[in-house]
Amino acid sequence: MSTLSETERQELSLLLPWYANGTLDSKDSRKVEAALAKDDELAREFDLVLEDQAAAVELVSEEEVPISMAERFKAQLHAEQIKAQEIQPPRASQEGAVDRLLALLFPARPRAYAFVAAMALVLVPVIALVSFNAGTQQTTQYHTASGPGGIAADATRVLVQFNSAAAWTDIDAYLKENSGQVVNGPTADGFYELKFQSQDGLIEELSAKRDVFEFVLPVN
Amino acid sequence: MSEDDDQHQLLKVAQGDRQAIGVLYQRYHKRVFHFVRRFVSDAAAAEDLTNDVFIEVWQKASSYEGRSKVSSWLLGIARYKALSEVRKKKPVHSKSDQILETLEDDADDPEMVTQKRDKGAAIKRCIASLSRDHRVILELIYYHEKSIEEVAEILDIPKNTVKTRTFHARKQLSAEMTKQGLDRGWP
Repeated sequence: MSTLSETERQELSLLLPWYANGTLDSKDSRKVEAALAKDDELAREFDLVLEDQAAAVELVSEEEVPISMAERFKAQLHAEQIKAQEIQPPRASQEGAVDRLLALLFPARPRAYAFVAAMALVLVPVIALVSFNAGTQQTTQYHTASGPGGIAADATRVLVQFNSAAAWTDIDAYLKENSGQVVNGPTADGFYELKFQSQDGLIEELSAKRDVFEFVLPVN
Repeated sequence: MSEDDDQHQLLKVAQGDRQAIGVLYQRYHKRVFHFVRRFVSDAAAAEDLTNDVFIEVWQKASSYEGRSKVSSWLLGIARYKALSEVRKKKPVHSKSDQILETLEDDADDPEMVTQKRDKGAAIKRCIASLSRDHRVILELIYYHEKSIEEVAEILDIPKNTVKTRTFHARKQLSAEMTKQGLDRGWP
């Protein structure tokens, strides 16, 4: 026999799903627990909640996650990293020096201009020196993740499928080590287009690397 | 997996740690996939959306403020992306047609007749026939094990709406069961 009023039962009924999933705070949890012990109607309702919970979990778990999903994510992430590296300023260290000089010459605080004026004679030769150094560094090229050598004009393109057991770090390390780049992919079939510096026996070498590639096909 | 470790991994992601995003992906990609699957009509779109969620995490991990669980934050991003996708594509499927197809009613098939007698299978069929809003909220609670506050945050609705929507979802589920001749005696 229940001592709950209809209003109390309705309020507690609203909380039953969270009592079932164990996320109610301790105060509400104790209230529901006490009510379930003395109210048969609420207890029957809770049995239905448990049935629904079991069915919902089972139903969702039955839905298969596409097996290609993780592989595609790896490729997307790799492409994101390359993109991020490519949009970095190519001569960051040099620009940093220029920025520091500009910040010094045009400070945000007006009072500092007095200091700048006083230091002008000292800074002029420094600027000249830095500019000279910057000029000598103009030949510095930006390098992608593919390695210091970059990709030569006579690049070889290959279509590959990565070994699903290969760790991202292994793929990344292999590409870096061999001056390789992901240039496209994945296709609907899970293929990626890679670019390597042309070299003899490249396809054979990639094909032999079974822990990284499952399938290798030259495309040019 | 602990919440503390999730937050630790996310911090590492914000510092550009690729293994950390791998850890979070491994932990949560299935849950995110199942969640966005309710919003889009095909698995391929859900797959793309799921990966987009984690790419966004990779790019914007530093914007996580620690006010919610990492898993709830992920589902919040997923919901936003899924709704954007739905608005782009239209029409919205209010019923989970594909899943209904897999649980189709075929009275001539003895196996299905047996399954129909099975209460669990009947409940699953009825859950699959619920509206998207009702199904999503029940799955957030039962499958994703989210609290009232977390559901409110993920769906961007008040806590009281979470409670009443859940109650209506349960009532609708029982009504669907009654339609199938399985009166549960509630409400």
